[in-house]
Amino acid sequence: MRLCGIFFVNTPCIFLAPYQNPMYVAAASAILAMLLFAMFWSCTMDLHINGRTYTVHCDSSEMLVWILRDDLGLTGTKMGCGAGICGSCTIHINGVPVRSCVTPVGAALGQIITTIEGLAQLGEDGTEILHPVQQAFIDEQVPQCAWCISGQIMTAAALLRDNPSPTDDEIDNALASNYCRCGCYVRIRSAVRRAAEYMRAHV
Amino acid sequence: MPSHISPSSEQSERKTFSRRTFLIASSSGLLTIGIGSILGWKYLQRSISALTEAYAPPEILPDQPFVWFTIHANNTIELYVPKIEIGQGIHTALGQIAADELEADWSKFFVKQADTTRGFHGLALSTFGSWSVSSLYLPLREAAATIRETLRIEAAQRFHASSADIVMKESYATLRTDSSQSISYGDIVAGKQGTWELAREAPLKPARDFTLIGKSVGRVDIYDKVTGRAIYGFDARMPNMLYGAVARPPRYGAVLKSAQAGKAASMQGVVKIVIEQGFAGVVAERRSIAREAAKSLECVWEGGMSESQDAIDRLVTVPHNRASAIIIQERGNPQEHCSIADISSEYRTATAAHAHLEPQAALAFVRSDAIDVVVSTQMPEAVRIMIARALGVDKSIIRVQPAYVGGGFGRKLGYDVGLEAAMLSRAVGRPVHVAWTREEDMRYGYYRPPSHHRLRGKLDNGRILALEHDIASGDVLLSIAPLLAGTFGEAFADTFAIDPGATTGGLFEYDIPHHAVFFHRIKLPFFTALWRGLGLLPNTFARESFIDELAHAAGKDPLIFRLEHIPNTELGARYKAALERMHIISEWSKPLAPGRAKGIAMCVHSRTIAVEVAEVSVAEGRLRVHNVWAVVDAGTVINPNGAAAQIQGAIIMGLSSVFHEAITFRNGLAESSNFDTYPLLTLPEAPNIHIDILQGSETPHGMGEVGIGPIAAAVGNALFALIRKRVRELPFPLNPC
Ligand code: FES
Ligand code: FES
Repeated sequence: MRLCGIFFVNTPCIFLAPYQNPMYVAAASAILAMLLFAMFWSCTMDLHINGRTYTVHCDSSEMLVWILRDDLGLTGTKMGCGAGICGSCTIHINGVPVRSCVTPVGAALGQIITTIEGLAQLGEDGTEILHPVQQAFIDEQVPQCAWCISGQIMTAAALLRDNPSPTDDEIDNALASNYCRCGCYVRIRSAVRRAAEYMRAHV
Repeated sequence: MPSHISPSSEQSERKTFSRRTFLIASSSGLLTIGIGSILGWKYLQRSISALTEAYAPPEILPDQPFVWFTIHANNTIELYVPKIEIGQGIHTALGQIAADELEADWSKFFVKQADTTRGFHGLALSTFGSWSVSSLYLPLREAAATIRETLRIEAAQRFHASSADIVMKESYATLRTDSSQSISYGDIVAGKQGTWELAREAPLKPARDFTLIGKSVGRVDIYDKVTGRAIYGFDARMPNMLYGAVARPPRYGAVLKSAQAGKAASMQGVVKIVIEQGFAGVVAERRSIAREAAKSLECVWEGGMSESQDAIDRLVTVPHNRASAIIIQERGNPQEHCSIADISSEYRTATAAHAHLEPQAALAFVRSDAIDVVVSTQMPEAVRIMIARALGVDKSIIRVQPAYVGGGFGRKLGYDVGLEAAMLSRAVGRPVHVAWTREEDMRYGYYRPPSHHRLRGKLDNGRILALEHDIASGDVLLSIAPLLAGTFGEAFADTFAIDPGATTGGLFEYDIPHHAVFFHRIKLPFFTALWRGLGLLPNTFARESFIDELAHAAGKDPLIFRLEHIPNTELGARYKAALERMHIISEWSKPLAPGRAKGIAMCVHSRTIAVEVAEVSVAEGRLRVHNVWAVVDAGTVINPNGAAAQIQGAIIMGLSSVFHEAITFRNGLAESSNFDTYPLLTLPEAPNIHIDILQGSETPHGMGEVGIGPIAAAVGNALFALIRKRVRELPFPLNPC
């Protein structure tokens, strides 16, 4: 059933706030129609996640967060609200941060998915090299319970890729919809600033 | 290394381990030492008895460890600690304490979560009330010191030297006179012939020799947390597992009268529909199917709460006579003076949810002779009790593995979701994972109770002459007693009637000639219980706002006014030091930027003092908090940076209560079920937070909750200073001006 795959190659997830790309908005209705079609389409699908291809068997209307966590055991992506509000479930699709709790798996077919497990790189000697945002979160000792942390890190990583020198207001706005109940906000702010420095130093 | 310890206050409190409290298992190249809870019990008891006085503590056997060390031949050391990592950094702090006393190499020291399979008692694992460090500080050090001295004796024998000539450092024992003669702890253990004899003398290190205690070492759990590897109850997996979901009542207290499978029976992927006395749930191959099927069960519910918010507000009101009130503090003759009070005010705080970001979650695998539960819980014993009772099995076959907890704040008991997973697993004979949706989590747990306060005060010559505080609150701890101890617990709660939780933070610590605090227990039709700091935030909000009212009435600076009412006691001296420090760091008497104002408030909790100052502005009717200063005196602080994180977090959580949080009810059910109608504080709303930690004594006090106490009053007091308008409710109105 590769049919689904063909349908959704390069279809952006237009309704996946907060990072909407306006150029796609016009295509929204067409894609939604395709999605609706996919919702009744239970099939075998290939997903490209963190540089690997996984085959899953499920209804394509199933939300991506559950495929990642329950089907594939990629539990680094968390779930806090299931309604697109808290940001705990943030992943990247083609580098854009999206909320996997409101993204049907069908919408991710053929796309490049990155989760917190795939953010670090492997060095030549096989050691793990953390993403600068992960390193900054360690250096600022950000996490407490850390249920929100992969969502914070994924959102911050996307921000810094697009904007290597964000102002404090830009940091606040980019992460304004990522709740942290443990109240790590002050440290999140410093860690994102610090990560930006790390990334600039690397370029 | 000290071979002799000068007497200190700690020394006099010391107990010595009796030999039988050590359990030593030595197999080739591995030394495992569990230290019995006889000694720890005395310390642990405090945290338990305060929680559930009605619940008789079970007999503790010496072989039930409260802590467990394993030393490996490769010189790594594992420490199994009986406290659960909810985010408060407890694994790091306990590791620092033990490794410091053991003179262990921190880079090869690993802290692990103890569980009931290793013989730990479920109650010892309870993690509540900022007690974890203070209750384990001495027992853990004594255990580590005993192991250190045991290894020292063994090394001395190897080197044919006396123990006094062996230096213990960084997991190595070295001959003082010849540093080439050195052996690792791992090698001592691996080379040991015969059985171990424990050292008889094990002096504790003096504070000046601490290498880890008091240092801001990094959190031990942080790498796994930034890479997504840390496993929480919601992440637990087992081969062959299924997913469960449970039908929920439409009103609190409603009882399931009957249930029918309905549409759920024919849904693809449904494995089993489980309908039992008062319970209806579904097991399915996928989580989404289980949830959908549970919703489509045809349930008939009976009875339950019917009230809406206005009825709750009427219920939670300090009654005009004190016939059923309990006096929790009294000095002098306040009633006489307050009957002609200068000021009298009423304060109200809303019902609040915990809103930990990880919803309740548990994985259970029930077999006839063993039950395994992996769960996000602050209290594994509650999970065992509930499952044992409901399934009619002996508690000893239930093994609870606590996972990392994605925020608890008092709500992660795990007994409810753990029991649901167990009941569903029993029905299918396979592991079943149940995770609540946010909607379930926000509606079907318990809440911080709403409270109402009436305060009356009389001034005399610029000082407070008399003060009265009437607190009306729903249950915080009394409601837990029936949960754990059934009808006995309920009877206890009714007789006792004074809720040590709801009154937390309610006492006056000021020097006031006449004062009294009265508690009015309000029985609510919905479940209220523990929430971060218990009554600390509501009670401190009311008291510290009112003190501010009195200060203004007396025409005094609120900080100076507080200083003038500090009692001449040890606590008073610490308060005074904290206030004076605050005066400096917040630049209290410096002129303010235009449009800004500052407010101050303070409290003591778990022997820790917190003084907080908030700086606010108002623009377009919107209140904004720009800066918060906190001076905290917590005695000995194990990890200053970790302690600061706790204070920052508590301030943010308190601000969230100030700005946003209120659960309201309609027809017997909470109106909010997700963050769209129950928003939390966000990053752009977070102020800069400046923390100053004073270390006022040699023993550690609690850190996890105290910071939440003063913040609401500090903000309200700042707002008053700015616009001369007093806000007397939590949350503040959207437009407070
Ligand atoms: S879980 Fe997806 S945004 Fe909250
Ligand atoms: S660290 Fe706990 S929610 Fe952010």
